[in-house]
Amino acid sequence: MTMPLTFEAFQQLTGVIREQAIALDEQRWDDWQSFYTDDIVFWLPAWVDEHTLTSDPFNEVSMIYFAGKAALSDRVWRFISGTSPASTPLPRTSHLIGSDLVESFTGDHAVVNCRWHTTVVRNGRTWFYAGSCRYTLRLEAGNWRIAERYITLTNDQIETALDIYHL
Amino acid sequence: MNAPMKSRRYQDAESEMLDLDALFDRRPDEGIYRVDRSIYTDPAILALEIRHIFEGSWVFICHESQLPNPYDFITTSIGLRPIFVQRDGSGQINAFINACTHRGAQLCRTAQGNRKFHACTYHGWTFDAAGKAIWLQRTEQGYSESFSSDQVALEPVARVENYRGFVFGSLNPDVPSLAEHLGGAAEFIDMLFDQCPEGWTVLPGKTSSIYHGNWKLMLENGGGDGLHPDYAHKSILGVANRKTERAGAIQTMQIDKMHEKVGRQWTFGHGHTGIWFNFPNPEDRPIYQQKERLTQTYGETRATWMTSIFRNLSVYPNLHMLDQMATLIRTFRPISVDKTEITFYCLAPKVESPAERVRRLRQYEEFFMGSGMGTPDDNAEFEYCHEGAKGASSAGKSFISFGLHNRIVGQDETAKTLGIPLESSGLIGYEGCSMSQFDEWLRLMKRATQGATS
Repeated sequence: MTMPLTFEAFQQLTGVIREQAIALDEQRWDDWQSFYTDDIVFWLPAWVDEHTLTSDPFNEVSMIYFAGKAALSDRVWRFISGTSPASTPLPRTSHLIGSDLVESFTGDHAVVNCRWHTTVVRNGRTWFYAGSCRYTLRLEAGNWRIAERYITLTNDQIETALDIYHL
Repeated sequence: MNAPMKSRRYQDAESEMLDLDALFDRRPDEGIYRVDRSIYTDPAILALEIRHIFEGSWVFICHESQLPNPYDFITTSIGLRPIFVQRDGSGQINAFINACTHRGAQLCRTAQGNRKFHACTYHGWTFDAAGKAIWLQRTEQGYSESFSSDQVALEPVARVENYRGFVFGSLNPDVPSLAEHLGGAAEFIDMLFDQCPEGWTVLPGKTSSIYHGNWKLMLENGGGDGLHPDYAHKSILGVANRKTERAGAIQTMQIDKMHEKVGRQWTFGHGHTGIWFNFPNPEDRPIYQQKERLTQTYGETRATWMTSIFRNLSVYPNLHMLDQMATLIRTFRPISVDKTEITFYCLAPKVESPAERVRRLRQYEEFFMGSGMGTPDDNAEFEYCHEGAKGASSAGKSFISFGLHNRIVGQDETAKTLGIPLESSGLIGYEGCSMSQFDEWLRLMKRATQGATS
């Protein structure tokens, strides 16, 4: 059941979203992972045509789909291992989060929609990725944690690489 | 007085100035093969490649499942030329230059669609699915009595042929049949095709990636670079190891130390190449569930080749049909001499269990596409190669010689057993695969410069 959203709750919810983006820019990977629940579902669907996204991750292609924090940690482990040429050196990133809208709030569960824009600088090139993101957050031991991230990528094409530090 | 106008296009003048043979130091019997890196960076060479390779020979254009219904179309390109591919009312697949014959505006402006007629929104000229101009503006007033709409039919892609679902086109009509062009490479397509009686489909969700490097770097990598996985893909091999202890995880197909497995690299001629080796964990492939059925139909040997052996096929110049860590089509094209577009399609049997489908998707997404954990590392290496090749002096030569001194010309024992005709074979890592690609490159490029037509 939806409850009235207090200003304090709004600040906490959007704060988590903003904090995790800042953690990516500052390459604080352990901090970043701490914002996610153990059963995190992380989903970036692919485009079918100009305006249609894939909608079934069990029958259609997603650019990224995984469930569980172990898969999230695998990704982080890989790109900081020093053995991934695409992530060594890592790019500088600048995440911008905006247009936040709290879609639902029940006291211990909330859905927040926002837009994101990441400027990427690497090896003399500058480019951006942008899109929308729907965060499903859950209150765990008094802290809001991200249980689901549904991300869309507005770009048509990936420049060399797209990893979670870009998103 | 002005110099007389050159009667030939500038590319021909360029090609006469380029000594193509001088780009290669070819001494395979001594185990030496070097390639001048200007081949990756010289825009004059790309202009020739566009004309004589991409517009002069067979190229892969799509999978037939992208056009399931009559009048479905997709837009794509052959090299730099925009085309659309359409299934007509009788079910046949045709392809046309995607440009109105009036003023050249693109006719089909979306990635895909379904329509019987293509009306150009600029001046209204309208064409049917056979490319015939069926309506033009004010013909009686504007054109002479001798004018016929046949004069302005859409420009067809001269040859379109379908080999077991893989659709190829050639803008040059004077090419051998597709079957002849593919030769022994077709055997690897057969090993895929025969896996499912209901046929294959590309799953919804095609993705593209750009890397800032020459197109041939992708071609060579997927054409059988068996030397790079333990290094360029070390990080995802590490992820694969982390997952082996994790209950319930969809496992990664193991490709580390492939030279320690039973396997070979093959060249089929016409620049087509392959690599294969025995997977240590074939049971983690979705198709492995079908092994018993396939054994009954095709026998033990062929069923093993279909289900348990890593198979990489490169069809010159722009198709990688991979049936290995995942099953996919990877096609690529030059945007410019230093920029390449790669497009990925996940292949799946039209009929398979939900568990097999999910395994197929997760294995594909884990490694491939610009968002996977394998492709980006290849893309990055192509970019580092391209940077390393820059400059005007020709001092930079790549040393592409692994396995040349002990290669086998013609079939090896395995190919004889399977009845697959080969040009040559070598051990895992055999860089004769690149050499074979450059043989085809030289054949097509020199054919052009010497004025021959076939």
